[in-house]
Amino acid sequence: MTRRRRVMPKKRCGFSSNGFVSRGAAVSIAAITLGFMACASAVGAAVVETWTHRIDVGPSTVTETSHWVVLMEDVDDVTAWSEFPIHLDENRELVSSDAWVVSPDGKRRKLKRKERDVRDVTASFELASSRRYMVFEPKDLAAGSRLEVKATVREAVYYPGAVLHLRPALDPFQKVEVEVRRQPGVEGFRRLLHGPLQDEPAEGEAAESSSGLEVSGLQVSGLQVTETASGFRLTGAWDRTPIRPRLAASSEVEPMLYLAWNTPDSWDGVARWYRELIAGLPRGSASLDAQAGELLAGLPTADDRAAARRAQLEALVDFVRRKVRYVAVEVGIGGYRPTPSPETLERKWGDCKDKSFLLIDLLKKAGIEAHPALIRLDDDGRIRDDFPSPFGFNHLIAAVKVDGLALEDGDPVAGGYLFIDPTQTVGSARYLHRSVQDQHALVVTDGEGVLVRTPVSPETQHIALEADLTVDEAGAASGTATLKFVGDYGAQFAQGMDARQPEDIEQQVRDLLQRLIPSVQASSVEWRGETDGLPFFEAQADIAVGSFVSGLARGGSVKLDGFQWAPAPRDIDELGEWPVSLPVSTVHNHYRLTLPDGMCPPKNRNDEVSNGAGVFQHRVSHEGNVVDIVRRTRPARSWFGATDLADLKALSTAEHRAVKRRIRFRCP
Amino acid sequence: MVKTRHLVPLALIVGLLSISSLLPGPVSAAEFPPISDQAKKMTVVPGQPGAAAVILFKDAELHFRDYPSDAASRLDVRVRIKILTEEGLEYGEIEIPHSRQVRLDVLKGRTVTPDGKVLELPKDSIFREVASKSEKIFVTKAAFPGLEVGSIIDYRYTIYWDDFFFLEPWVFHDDLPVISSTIEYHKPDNLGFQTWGRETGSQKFTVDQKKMRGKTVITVSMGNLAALPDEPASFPRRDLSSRFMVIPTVIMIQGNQIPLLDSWKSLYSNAGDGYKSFLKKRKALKGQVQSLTSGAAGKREKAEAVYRWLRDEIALVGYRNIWVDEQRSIKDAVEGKAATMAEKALMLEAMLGHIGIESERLWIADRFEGRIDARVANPEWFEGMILRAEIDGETVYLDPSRRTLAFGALPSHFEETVVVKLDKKEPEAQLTPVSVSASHQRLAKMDLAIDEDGKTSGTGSLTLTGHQARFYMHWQETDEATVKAWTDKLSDEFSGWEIRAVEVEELVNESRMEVRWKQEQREEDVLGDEVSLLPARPLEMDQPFTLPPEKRRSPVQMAFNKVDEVQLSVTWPEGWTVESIPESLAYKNEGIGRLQVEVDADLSARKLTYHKVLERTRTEFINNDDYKLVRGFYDKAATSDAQEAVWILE
Repeated sequence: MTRRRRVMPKKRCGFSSNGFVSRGAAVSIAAITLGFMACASAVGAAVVETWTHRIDVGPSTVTETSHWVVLMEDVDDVTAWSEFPIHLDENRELVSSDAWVVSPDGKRRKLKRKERDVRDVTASFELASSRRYMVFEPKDLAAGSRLEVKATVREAVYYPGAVLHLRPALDPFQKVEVEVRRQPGVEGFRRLLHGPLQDEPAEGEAAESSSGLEVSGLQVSGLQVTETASGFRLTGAWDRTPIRPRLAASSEVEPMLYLAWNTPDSWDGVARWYRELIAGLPRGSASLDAQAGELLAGLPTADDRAAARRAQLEALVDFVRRKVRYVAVEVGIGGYRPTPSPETLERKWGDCKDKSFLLIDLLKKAGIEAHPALIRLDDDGRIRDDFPSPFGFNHLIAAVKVDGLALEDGDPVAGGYLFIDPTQTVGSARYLHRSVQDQHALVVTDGEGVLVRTPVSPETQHIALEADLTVDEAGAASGTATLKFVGDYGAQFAQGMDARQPEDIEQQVRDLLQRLIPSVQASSVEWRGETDGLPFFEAQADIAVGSFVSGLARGGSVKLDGFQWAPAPRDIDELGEWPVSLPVSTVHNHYRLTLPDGMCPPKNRNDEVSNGAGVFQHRVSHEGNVVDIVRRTRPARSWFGATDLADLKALSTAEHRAVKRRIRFRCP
Repeated sequence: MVKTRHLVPLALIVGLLSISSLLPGPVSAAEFPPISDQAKKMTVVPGQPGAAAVILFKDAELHFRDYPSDAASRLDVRVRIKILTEEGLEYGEIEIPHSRQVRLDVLKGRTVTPDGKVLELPKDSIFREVASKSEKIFVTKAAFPGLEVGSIIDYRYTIYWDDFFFLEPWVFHDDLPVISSTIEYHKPDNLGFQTWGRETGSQKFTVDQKKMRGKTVITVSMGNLAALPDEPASFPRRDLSSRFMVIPTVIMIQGNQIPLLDSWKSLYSNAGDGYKSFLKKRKALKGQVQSLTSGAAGKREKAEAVYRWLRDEIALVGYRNIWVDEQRSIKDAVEGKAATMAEKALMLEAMLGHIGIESERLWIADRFEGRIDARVANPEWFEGMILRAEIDGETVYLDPSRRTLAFGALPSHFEETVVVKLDKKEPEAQLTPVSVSASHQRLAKMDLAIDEDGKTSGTGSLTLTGHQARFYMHWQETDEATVKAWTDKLSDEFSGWEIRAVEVEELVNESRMEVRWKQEQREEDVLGDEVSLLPARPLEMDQPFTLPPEKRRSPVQMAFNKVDEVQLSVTWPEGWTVESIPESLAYKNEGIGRLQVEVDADLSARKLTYHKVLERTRTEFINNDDYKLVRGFYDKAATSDAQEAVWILE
């Protein structure tokens, strides 16, 4: 038996475009191509001498024909390319495929049948899926030899569109040629080239190239676009392994080609496609009625109707989150279409779609209007909001109409909807985890589709260190330290209380204290937590620091570490103009120091930096010999584009310098 | 005649089984056994208050094949888990690896809800994943229905395989507390056997042996087992778990006694068939050896030349084990420029032979995968094969399978581990040597100067040797990426500093690497009237042992002995003065090593020198006193390392 561990809330449904399913938390669609992916060569120095990829677009099918020639320069290349996978699925059939090993002397050997394998593929968050790879496994690939692959895959598209990763391996590409050809019956062809910036237009500005290729946002360097009679061709080369700033948002760094056709160029059109996909899905049953009745019975009948509705909402959310466990099974169209709610209720497990639709259908029984919302679950990327398509979405949550619903400050409300992710296993409707905050959500109502940016809720994401210390004449300090986590971190710790051994939690708390207050000695570690409402976790310990205050001969000084929100200024500089996505937690550090006789309190100060990135406050004050040092950062957003980075740097610098500068106890 | 090489596929799959080592137990009865009132009432596990779920039982019956009347061996597995908290719902899915050789038969399961309702595991909740179509490897997965807190999961299944062997020990412990675990071995009388077991913790095996219907039945049980701890620098989980195994040693077939795993000699004679076959065309390497050694003087130099070629030019492929496919030959490996670990060792043996160096074959175990018992001839213990040779009067261990290994070096997981020296007459278990701390050094040197504006700049270097160097060798694929990675790493270590002009030199054949850089404080980090540095950086120690001794549950194992050394000099201009400096320190304990910090601030020359040496000479700390020792050592280091040097503008 293997426990299928998952860490809340990094659950991700296999909801993605064309049955392509994201793999890995931060990679998302960057790891996907139309059918051919050299993911085995994640990093490499082999040379892709030729990569030609022809895409024949029909009204309901896409046929891809790909040709690779890869030169193995050394043993590492051989290891990296010893498996060449071709992506297949229920709707993706292999039309033809062949591969050869060309030895250094030019001898060309066709791979035998036994040098092929087929493997099902499931992501770490899935129990099962219909995705599989046909894998070429050349037995005699050696340094100096070449691997040549030709293959054709036909896909019956679920949505008339496609995404192609234009750099499916990190090795240098000497020749890249991607040709797209439209077949009869393909109308309203849309296309978007997106990738590493070269001459960056202003954000949101879209341009129409002379070739008719719509270019939006960032442009791909290294590729030329040529119109052809039936479509267009991209040609060029990738001359070196790309080196990216480490904080750059993952969704922005890879060159991608988006295609869509026979669908309106609007988010409403995408919503219509999804509505048709789920039409006819059984949504009600006696068991559903009974479950809703059971959950709603006995709730206090508040005079305030809005409050009563909120209570009903919370009861139903709690049930779906806590009693229906997350299990993802993505088979074919099941990657998009949910299991009927009665079935989900019966088995008490399901993926994001299943859980969301169950919640929506239960809410309907309570007379509360809610709709599915397609969204991207990603700490480090977002969808292209300028190219309406389901591509980029990998998750589905519920959007509850707020009309007639009691709301509190900090509720995750935007566009008239309260957003609820039923795959969270803790917290009330007020708690929306970070990975779906500040993301575009396509709310699919009965009549339209609306793209709504989910809110940022720093109030619901909070990290704090509070230390109350008494300093002695020798510079040692002792007292208590309290760690507080609300929101995602609170949920993770609090859940751990139910799942882990106490010693493991204590070890984690001690390790954290050690990192925050170097050389601290902790004892009497205690903690409590709560997974209802806004999840929180609080740990307290008695602490002692031997050499807390140094330089006593000159009055003494102390450096106070703690939590910081912003990345280091150096990392922000390195971004250049790349966007970055950051957590939205409020960070709070409060040291209260009681000084011994003869040690003078520091000068009072109250500094604040406030800009588009957020607010940073640093306050030093004292009353008698009790000194309070407070540092607090409240971010204003999660996503920082090129024009936001200056503000981010200013906030980071202020936070960084405040930690760096020692607090001095020099007498006047 | 039964050939033990048939073990190869079985070994692989049994290896897979170890992933889910509690895979279920015996299924002699069609129905699940009744649930006791005690199990129904259980809401917490005594002594394990945080347990999200509890394994009420995990039992197995292993029926060794009764040749020739049985077609296969069989393992019946049965598990019952109770969900105690909402977190425990995550135990509601299972995965069972199987294959063409190890065949999964029935899988049945059910959920029993707290109100007693029985929900059978439906067929549409069972999924078979093809892990490899060509090798016929599968994983069957299932999601149990209707789970809620208080539910009980029951499942059982049977697997079959054609051989006599099940060489992965039964593991009694688990991530969850285990109330009871039993395995029954049903052994036909024509099969001789040896038992092996290892108890951990305070509980002991209960072993019973009896005759039943012409078979010997060995029943081994344990109960009330605490969940395995998850602690830093712990021993491998296998070493923390109680395990038991029955090893077939001999079989009587038609009056003939055929040795199986009775001794290393028998095992080696079976594996040796593949070795012989592989080496048949050893002459294919002769020309290569001549070409490689043409300019080399002396045996050592020649041996190094062939070792490097084999290491760098022949790719490592395949599973790590001791077996060699009888269909493969040296010629295949040379032409394909790829070989398994065992094949590479044999190729090296042949090449050394061509230059007149005899070598010994050694099967070697990975120390970090758990300790092995050399009294049991189990091929599953080993990761692969290496060589040992006497060259110019020196004993040299040679593992040509890793591109980061210099001639004569072993990776840390092969140090102080069991090897079996393969000798046709008498194979012998031995221990590999452990290298001394001085072989694995990190030496950081920084020369820094504070200018009048309080900006600090200078140069730094980091020299890594031995395992410390190997860790970073071939870290990135390109030089550009390597420089970027080191720049990022150093920037993290020296937060607030600009790191530039990074140069990286990797000297694989010397087990050494050197990184040099320039560093200067970033403008936003310059305070103007104050400078503070942590002199111990970039080799600042974290205290991994924050848990007090009375709460530590597992012994400590660290990868290798080591020395960290920091040499820092800082100069400052007139007008600035030292506010504080770290304290000097000298600590030495034969049981762990030494920590020495020498700090000298020459105020007249305006120069600070800081010299720190941390040397740890021991890797394992078994009991509570040992833990106190290692914890105290790291406490001292962390406390010292946290002390800043501070300058202020007067």
